[in-house]
Amino acid sequence: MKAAILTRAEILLFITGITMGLTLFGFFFNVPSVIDAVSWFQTFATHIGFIAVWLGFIMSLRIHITHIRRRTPGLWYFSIVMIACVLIPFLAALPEIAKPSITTPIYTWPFEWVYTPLGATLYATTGFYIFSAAYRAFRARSLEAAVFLVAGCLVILGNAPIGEVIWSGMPFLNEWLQLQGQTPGMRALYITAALGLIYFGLRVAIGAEKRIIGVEVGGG
Amino acid sequence: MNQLLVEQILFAGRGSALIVLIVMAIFFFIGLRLAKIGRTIKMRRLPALDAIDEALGRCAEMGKPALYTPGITGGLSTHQGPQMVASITILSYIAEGCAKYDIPLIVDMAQGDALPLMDETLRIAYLKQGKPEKYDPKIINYYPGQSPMVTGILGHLQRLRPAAFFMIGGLYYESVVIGEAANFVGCINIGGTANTHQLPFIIATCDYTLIGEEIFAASAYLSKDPYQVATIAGEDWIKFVLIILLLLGFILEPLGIKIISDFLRW
Repeated sequence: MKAAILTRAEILLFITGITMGLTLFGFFFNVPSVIDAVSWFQTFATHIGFIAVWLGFIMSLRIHITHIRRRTPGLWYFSIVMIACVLIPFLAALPEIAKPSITTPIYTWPFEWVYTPLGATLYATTGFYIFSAAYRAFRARSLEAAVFLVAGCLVILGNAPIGEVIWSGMPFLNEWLQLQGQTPGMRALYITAALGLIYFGLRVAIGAEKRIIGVEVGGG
Repeated sequence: MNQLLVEQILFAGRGSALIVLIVMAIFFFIGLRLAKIGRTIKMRRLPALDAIDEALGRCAEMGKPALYTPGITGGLSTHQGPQMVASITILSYIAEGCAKYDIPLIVDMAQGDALPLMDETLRIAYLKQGKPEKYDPKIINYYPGQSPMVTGILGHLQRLRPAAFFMIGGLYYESVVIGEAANFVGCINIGGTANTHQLPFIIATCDYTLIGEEIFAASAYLSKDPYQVATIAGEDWIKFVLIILLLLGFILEPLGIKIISDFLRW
């Protein structure tokens, strides 16, 4: 069993290393054959993503069919609804699959008039959650939290019309806090996240990131 | 002649990035070499990762499940892909803990292309703990989009009342919604993302936060393996180099010496 896992890991490492090396080379150097190869890899990745979506679809179906077959309490009837919601638009759209866009209402109507409004409704609740999170965050339990609270209040006042009524310099202060105060901090985070990402990539390339390739951790 | 050839082959404006990348790779291999000759490289504590064991212990004590989500992230082939991969490495550690202590684990996700990878990672995590029969692919709940996933997570939080909630990956607006909902039900919340626009929400809603680069270093940190830890030492060294470059730029540019900006534009 273990030998099989190691072989799989070696294959994964080889593919990862080749793909990563070529992609990096193609990014820096203007060598048409390498750029073509990288472009091919990118197209291939899109195709793999497409196949993986199908795999995800089949796995989901398998799970929900199992729920229905076993009559899982509280779940099996939802599984019927789920499968119906997936299969009905899919089958309805099948005759139009070769067209540039699918226009049959059985396919478009549930998306436009059910999915999108429900999504927008859920998104609209974010405001309430932000308010609740702000209430939790804006408590001066330490010096840092107190500074955070003061800065937060100044930004709120700077954005609200009443801020300018209280003091004409409030919008300027708000802008200063956001540009001179926030931007450098955010850029530092961007840069360090990018560095972390590059090192993560290097670890994946040499196989040091062992969890993702499914081999035993530890032991160098 | 050689310079002309390099200028013909190298894309304009990417030379400095290539040099920085080469320096980073050199630092990376120096770290590896140091680990091989037995030099221990210390890594600062990451409280959010230390808290994973505490959170799993809480689940075991309370007999409640742990809930994990990588957020909406993006497909594996998008620019958010690495966050998804980093998230899966952390999930692998959490799954091993869940398998070890028989804690029910629920995973809510919305990336079709990452689903097979996640399934395989979880299967291997349970296999490593000698309990492959405990792994059930049904613990992964796949949602076809952001809003359905948020709804699903809210439902799981309300119905199952997990003792620990992990949201680590490329999070977007869902971070504040599910983070707050997890707070309402009394979960220990551990969050992390490299999406800087969501960090304020994660900091406000979570008990512990992995900020930016920390999610990429998590796997090495959790392994406690000197070889893996050594690979992230170079990250700090390159930061020092970049800080020195920035400081030199601050000093030299006002004096009219454009060497740093010319290098960065090369």
